[in-house]
Amino acid sequence: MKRRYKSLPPVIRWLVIVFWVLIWQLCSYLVPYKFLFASPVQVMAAFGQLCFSADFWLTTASSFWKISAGFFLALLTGCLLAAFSYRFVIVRELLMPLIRLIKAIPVASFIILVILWFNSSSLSTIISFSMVLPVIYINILQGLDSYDEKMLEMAYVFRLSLVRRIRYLYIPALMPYFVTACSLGLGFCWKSGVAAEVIGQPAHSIGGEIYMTKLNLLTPELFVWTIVIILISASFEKLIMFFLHKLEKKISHLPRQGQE
Amino acid sequence: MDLTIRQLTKKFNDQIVLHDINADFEQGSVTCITGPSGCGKTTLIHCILGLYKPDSGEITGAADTRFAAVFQENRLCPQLDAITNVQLACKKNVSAAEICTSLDAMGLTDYAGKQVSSLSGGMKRRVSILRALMAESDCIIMDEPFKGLDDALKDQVISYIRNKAKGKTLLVVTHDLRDAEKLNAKILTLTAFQQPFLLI
Ligand SMILES: Nc1ncnc2c1ncn2[C@@H]1O[C@H](COP(=O)(O)OP(=O)(O)O)[C@@H](O)[C@H]1O
Ligand SMILES: [Mg+2]
Repeated sequence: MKRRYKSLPPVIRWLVIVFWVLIWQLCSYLVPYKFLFASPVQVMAAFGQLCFSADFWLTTASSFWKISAGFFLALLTGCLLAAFSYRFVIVRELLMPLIRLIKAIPVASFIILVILWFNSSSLSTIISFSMVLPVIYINILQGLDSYDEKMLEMAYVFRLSLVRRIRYLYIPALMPYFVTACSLGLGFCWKSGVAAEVIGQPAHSIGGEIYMTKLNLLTPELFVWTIVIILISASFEKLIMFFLHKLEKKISHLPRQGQE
Repeated sequence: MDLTIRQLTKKFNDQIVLHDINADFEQGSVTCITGPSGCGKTTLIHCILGLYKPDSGEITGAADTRFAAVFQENRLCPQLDAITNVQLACKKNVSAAEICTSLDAMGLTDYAGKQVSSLSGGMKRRVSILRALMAESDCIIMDEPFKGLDDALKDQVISYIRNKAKGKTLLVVTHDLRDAEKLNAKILTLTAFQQPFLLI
């Protein structure tokens, strides 16, 4: 592989972060209206304060639980629907307009509709579910469609059971599609889930808290919640990817790297 | 179960590939199918395996035969290791240890746990031959199985095949008549079907 640029020692990365934090601090001096901006020091202070309140953890856990539940439900449903669409053309034809519609509807309208139709406590679950579902469905179906017909002939000749086809042929071949779908879906579910909470303001939700910061002009808290969301979604993604790679290795009985 | 082919004809669009083929393969017999490239050897075995539907003629006995095959293009799962590739075609009671022993016999001792996509052409060939041999079957069909194997390896593999495929019907597509000799096989020679001139 060709490197496009010479990599610098890792310490540079940290220095870069320090550089940008300094710039951030500098900006806070320059912004004329202090309540519209928060300096890193203020954010750290607000973070420290929030950390010690039980409400902070309750809110974080509740949002995390609801949004990730939507994600996992979408994962499951998307895979099942893709499998059925692959097997039965009629299911595919039936679902096509629905999936296209879900993809086309602006998130904002969707959020309002869900608030009208359901209560706001399940709002972020439904929203993250419906944002992630099309991504999973489309990617998995594409993976199935592009599966080599010759391998299916092989399966036919050797009379492989459905369980074996799924375990040995489909799952390993679909893994890359699944990983792509998950990583795309994870990005969507947090952004849309929190946006839904901002609009619907369910109790104990990060989005609700963010809305409160706007009402009360608590800019440092807004920054803190933003950082919390970024941290949660990044570590959630890391965790999921970690398990997916474990699973991938287990499925293919791969020797560990470096054990060659 | 004996396999009988009568007046088999197979066309692709308007191209006649197999024309009026007749053949008998008794249970337990060994037959080599030879013929020039493009004469329809692969097409014939695909018809026997039930992957192509003949345009006319019949193949009797195939419905009651459990097949195993070495395809011209291996058709292994690239993401899986050699053991798993063999195991997926085997009955449940065939253990990984048993498969490892057979991989040893094929000269693949050090590659059993390697992802198949990282193996050389000749190694993949042997894995797919082994998969066909270890699967439960009455008839094993191999399409140019020795492609990419050097002579010493080929002899090793042939003697392993003879040993493992005892009692099973064996059809082997090959260009090399010496293979037929080593396999102690009957020979079925296909000729390329000459399209008759059309008078316009
Ligand atoms: N799926 C197919 N569709 C169209 N033509 C095919 C197909 N498979 C084989 N053929 C044609 O049939 C002829 C015989 O092919 P094949 O059976 O692969 O020959 P061989 O295995 O003897 O080399 C070739 O001319 C090939 O182009
Ligand atoms: Mg061929």
